[in-house]
Amino acid sequence: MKYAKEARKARRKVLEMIYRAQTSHIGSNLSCIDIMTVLFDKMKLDRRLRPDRDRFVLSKGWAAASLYYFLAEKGVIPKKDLKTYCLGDSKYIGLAEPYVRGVEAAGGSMGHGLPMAVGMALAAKRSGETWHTYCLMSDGEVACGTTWECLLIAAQHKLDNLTVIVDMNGFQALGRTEDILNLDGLGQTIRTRGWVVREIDGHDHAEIEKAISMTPKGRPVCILANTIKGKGVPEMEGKIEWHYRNIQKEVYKRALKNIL
Amino acid sequence: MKNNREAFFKALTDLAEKDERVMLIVPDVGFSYLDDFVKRFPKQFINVGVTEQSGMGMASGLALAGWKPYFYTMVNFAVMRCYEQLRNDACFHDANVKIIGVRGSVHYRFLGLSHNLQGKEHENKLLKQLPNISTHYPRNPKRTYQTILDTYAVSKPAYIRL
Repeated sequence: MKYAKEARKARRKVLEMIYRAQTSHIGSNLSCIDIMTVLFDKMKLDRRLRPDRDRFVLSKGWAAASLYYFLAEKGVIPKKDLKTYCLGDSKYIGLAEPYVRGVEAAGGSMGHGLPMAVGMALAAKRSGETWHTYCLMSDGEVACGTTWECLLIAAQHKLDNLTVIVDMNGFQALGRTEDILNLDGLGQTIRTRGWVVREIDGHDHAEIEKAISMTPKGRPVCILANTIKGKGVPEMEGKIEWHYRNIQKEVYKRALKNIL
Repeated sequence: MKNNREAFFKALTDLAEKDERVMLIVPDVGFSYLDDFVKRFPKQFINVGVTEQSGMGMASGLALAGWKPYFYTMVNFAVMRCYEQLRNDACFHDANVKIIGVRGSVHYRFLGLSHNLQGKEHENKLLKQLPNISTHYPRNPKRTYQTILDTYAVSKPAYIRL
């Protein structure tokens, strides 16, 4: 129940930020908010950004509004800064970059977050430190060569301090993932390479909590989170146009009323 | 020190001895040059396989977590094959990644355009527009050794061609 309330609050705020700025990517934000709600509660992270904090790499950097929201909730950035999202010369741009405190790595260009996360996990492992690295990526990014390279590398080097979460909302820029580069059987493919794989409902907080808490010895974890693009705002759910469209006033008002 | 490569490995060995966060990353190159380093510092070495793009991203991630990675491979693979990772992940993050571009020795003569710069090609044309990175072209082993020590002392990206 706690998570349901927090996720709803996050959705309202992120919707407000994107509406105010009249920018895009609301669909991609809404699909991963449940995941981030649980993750930011579970992660070892506070306002001090200590060297032994858990690392969160948002490879799908276009969910920046959500990342800023959760960083503000954690006290890493001031809450008032959220008001400047994508306005004027704000550093809070639509693709998260490390000029913002707490953003570990830039995630705009697809396929960049995972290698950097693998580097961080390797750093902790070789230093004998216990912090964990989480990488949230999109299903469109699975096609990138670096994703497949990293599947091999992380397994080879037994990075059991790495958890990759794929936001499987089924859409990429030009349509359904299954119509562009089909990912059927992805879980089995990754499992065969030596990863522990869980396929979950990416909006079920209990399932998310259970999956991200796994720390199997000697093996990295991949969570394929089945999600709905635009989740929580009925008229945006499962529609690719909400990757691009700005939110009009009537839609915004309706969304606030109907938000799940 | 017979050549720049030997000078590089001598300097890296000296650094690795006193700094356990110095790490050598190779995308499956360096046959015969690496043996001594790998034997002495197994925890400070990784062969990532033929994955230059991920290797450069990983180097950046390692650097952001406080390590001092040295990404070592032929010029073409150190700069061109992973140019976007070099730009976004290393340079724009101002990550403390050292990129070591190996220029082909006489043995590379017959390896053609894939392993060698051709004609007027020069990697500095690609590097000079990138932010935060310094570039170094030491001319002899002695200078190479010194350049590796000098750039180690500066926590920023640097490119050193051997």
